Amino acid sequence: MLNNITNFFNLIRGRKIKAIPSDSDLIPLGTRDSRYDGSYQPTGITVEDFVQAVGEPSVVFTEGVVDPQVQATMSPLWGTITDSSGVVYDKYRIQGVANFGGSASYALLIGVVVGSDPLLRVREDSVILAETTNVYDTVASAMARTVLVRDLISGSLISTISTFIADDNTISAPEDHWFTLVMTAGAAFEATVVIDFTIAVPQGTVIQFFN
Amino acid sequence: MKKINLQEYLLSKYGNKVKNITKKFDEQKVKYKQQGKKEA
Repeated sequence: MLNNITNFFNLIRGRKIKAIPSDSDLIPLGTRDSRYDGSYQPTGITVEDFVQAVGEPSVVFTEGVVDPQVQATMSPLWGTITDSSGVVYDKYRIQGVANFGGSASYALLIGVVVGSDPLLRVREDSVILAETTNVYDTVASAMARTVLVRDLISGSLISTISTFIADDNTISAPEDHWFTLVMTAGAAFEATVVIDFTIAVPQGTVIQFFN
Repeated sequence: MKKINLQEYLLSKYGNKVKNITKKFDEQKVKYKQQGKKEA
């Protein structure tokens, strides 16, 4: 079959072309092996494992024990970063959601990444949602120093004074990075924050996420 | 294998020092909020 892999005629005629693959479907691969003709051994991978490696894998959030308003998880990403001195970094994505209201100032623990003192923040995709305001159904803001949130009393949109995710490794040990969502405004507000940022640690380092 | 939570991890790694760590984090939270207000 692998020798005839680009001949799709029978699959098309037999209506065997799928629009949505199942997790257990197999994708053929060629794995480098000099003992085989052409130096590649035929192998395969499930769609579930392939997506986990290169795509947008399914994730399950866990509610935090310190701040249950935040639920989050961490998953490894495909690809590496190499700096000019040749140090290679593996990437990990931290995702979650935080729902909160009732105060003008929040510091909520997202989770602790343990196992590596050196740690880079390489991407920030978190979004703050001000929902059911008296002007709009939802306003979405990217993580920034000031964003729009919903004033808890009036329902108006107000600007936060500051919004950031702190990375603090002075709390328990240098290899324990405590990530905390911090938001402050001039009046009590509520918001939903969709947490999504990427970190990188030197390759070979084993890290874990606890919340 | 059941994934342990943060409290269980801290207890297994730091034992009876967990109280100090929790206290330190609570102090840091106050500093984070103060830092946010200073930026006004």
